[in-house]
Amino acid sequence: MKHIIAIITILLFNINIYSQNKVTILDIENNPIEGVEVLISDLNLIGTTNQNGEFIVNKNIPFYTTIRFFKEGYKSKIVQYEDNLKIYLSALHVDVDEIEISSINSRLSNSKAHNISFSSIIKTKSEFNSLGDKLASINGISSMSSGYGIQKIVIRGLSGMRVVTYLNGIKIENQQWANDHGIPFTELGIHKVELVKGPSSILFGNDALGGVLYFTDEPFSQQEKTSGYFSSQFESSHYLFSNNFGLKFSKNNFYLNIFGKYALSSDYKIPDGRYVFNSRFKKSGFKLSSAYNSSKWIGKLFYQFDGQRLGIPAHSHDINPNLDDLLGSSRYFYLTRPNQFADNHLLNFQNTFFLDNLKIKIDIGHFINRLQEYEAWTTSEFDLLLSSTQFNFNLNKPINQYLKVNFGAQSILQKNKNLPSRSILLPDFTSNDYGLFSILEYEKNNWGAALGVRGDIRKIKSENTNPSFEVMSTSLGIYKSINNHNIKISYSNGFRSPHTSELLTDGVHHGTNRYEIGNQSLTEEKAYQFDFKYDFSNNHFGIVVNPFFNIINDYISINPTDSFVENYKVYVYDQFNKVYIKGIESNIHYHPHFLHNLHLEHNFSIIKANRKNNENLALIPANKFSSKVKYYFSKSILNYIGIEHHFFAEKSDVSFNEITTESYHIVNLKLDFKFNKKFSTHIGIHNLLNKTYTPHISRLKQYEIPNPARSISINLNYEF
Amino acid sequence: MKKTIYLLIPVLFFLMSCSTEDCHECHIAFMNTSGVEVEGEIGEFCGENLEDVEHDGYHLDNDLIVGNDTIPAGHYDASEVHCEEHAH
Repeated sequence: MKHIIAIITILLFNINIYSQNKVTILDIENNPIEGVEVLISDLNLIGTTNQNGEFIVNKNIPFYTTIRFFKEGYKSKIVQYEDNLKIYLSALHVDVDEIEISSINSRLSNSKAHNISFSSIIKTKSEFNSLGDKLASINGISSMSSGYGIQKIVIRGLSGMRVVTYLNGIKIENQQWANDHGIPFTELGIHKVELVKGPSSILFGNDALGGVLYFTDEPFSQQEKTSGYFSSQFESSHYLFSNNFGLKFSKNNFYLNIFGKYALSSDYKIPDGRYVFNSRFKKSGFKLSSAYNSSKWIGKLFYQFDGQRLGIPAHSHDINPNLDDLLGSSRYFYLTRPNQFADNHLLNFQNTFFLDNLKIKIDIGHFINRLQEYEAWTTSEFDLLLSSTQFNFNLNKPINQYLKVNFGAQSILQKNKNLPSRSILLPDFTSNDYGLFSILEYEKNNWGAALGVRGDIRKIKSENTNPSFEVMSTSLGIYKSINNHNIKISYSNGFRSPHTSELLTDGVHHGTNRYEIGNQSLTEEKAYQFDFKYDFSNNHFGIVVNPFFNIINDYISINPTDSFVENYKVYVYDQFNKVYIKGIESNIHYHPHFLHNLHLEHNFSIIKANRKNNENLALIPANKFSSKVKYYFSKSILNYIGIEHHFFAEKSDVSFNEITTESYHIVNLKLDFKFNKKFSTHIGIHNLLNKTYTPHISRLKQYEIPNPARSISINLNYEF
Repeated sequence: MKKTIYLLIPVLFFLMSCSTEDCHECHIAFMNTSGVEVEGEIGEFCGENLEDVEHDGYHLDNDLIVGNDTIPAGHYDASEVHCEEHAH
């Protein structure tokens, strides 16, 4: 025992004499590159190169940590850290897909054989957009929303319990089973999101059936002086006012980031000049991240609070309400009923140990979600307190130059408790998840492969039933690179045990205006996805083509019945034998040599989902075709001007309980100004043609309530 | 002294805002024979009265006529009494 304590003490507090670490970045003609973003991955520490192309840091950098180099116009690179590194970056003017800049810098895995995509939120930081809208700009991703208040992410047609969200290594559990329970945090302090489209239970276990969103906070600053930003945003259709700040500080090997946000929105305006009654909301957030490192240990401590007060629009007691009853002639900010109060607290402690060539990660986290839904003024309809305690262990060891093994264990304890309220929709329960996995990654020359196997157990305890589920998952990915051509073929497997809401719920759900009844005979859903990805890029042209086919067995669905309870239509949970989801996503980026500042992008995503008997699946997004033109100005305060055109095709292949959606076009305009190094402004016009449209997967589709009217957004950003 | 006055002003504002009683118009949601909901206004309720009507329901002493419909006198449960706001 004494030895163990001694080893831990040495690991945690070994004080090293700081040496000056230097990395030099050059182009292929041996010229230094200034302003290259250097990200030390495990520490999440960022800095830039000076005019000599040097990144100098007087801090302990653990060996075997990975460093990523990024600069617009160059091909990103990731390498393992060593002293006096010299890195050469080749020019790349097109940024076709998440692949090039992405899988090479994944927190999840560095193997290109995994089906991991990437999106940098910080790249669009100056633009005004909600987190849901930012994510929906990625091919294959959609947002299910009712204005900017409640937004849920849909990955390749799947959402809710089928999409797993991680924030700084901790799984977020916020009663996401319902369509009106949106993302429990804002874009505040978020740096990037890594994305897995399709099943990925190998790394994430239970529920990772449709995909994974893995959010990571903004990196720490290596500068030993306080830096930060203030930003203010206004958006005209919601009359949304948002103010944010961020502060970064570091001293020796200690790092601290602090972020804060407050946003207030009224009911949003639709193109005919009326307002969607009770779509108003308030959101506030606070985030504190700190880190300390020695040469063999990195410890990071995060705390985050997010508070949301969300109006629930389209509330009516009528079975078939008239649209006029759901719209108002004026906009209001004050909170009325019905609404949702959601408070979220996340505390987590991440540890990375470096022992010779062994990397061990241990994450411990606790997430609390309190969700109250009010229809009456003085008492809530339901008041749920969900706490989730998690432990993640990961060991990464190279066996030889080409082969690496990744072994992991995961445990999640969830407790759901009903606090005093008028009714109980979901009973008290505890749920225990345990998972063990192992992944072999092989990379040699331009070949790579990853093979994974995982076992999971979920045990649920509640007053009436104690079901348990045991599942095995597998995955296999192979890639090959030839010059600038990359081909990847992957098979992945995922599963989802029925959620307690699907097993045990019995009551009125005011957020969805329906009476929901669970089904205790439900079994696990299992998904098997085959994914093919081809990408090619050179200096001026890039293309990605990504067809996929996903088979889901025992798909759980909530279906309407002919019965009514308390004037609410009764919905019951049931299972479909087989569901097929197939589609293709593509992205083309062209950058003409004769007009260096012009960028043309085109992408599309086509998806089709049906049951074995050819009946269509509900809530599948319409096919989308987007074109973007962007022109960068040099030596001007106008940084760039961009115009986007999105075409959403007609959605006629709908489920028996859905209504069809007509095709529509949306045009957006973006202007980005940079007055100096500190002050920048972004002006956006969304829905420039003031088109009346209701997305097929809108939360308000059943009432045909349109999305917001033409709106102007202004974002003022000051960095210091 | 000046500082004390400056400090007292926001405190007074805070106390005044706390003393305002929360009042809301309530109605009985009555389903007529055609399955259409009829709203029978029962007036404004504040503070404890609001809490009582939302918790225990409301006793309607006399029949209430709304257009062509009649809401019969009797006790209406909390689930049949609504005080939330609708679009207007």
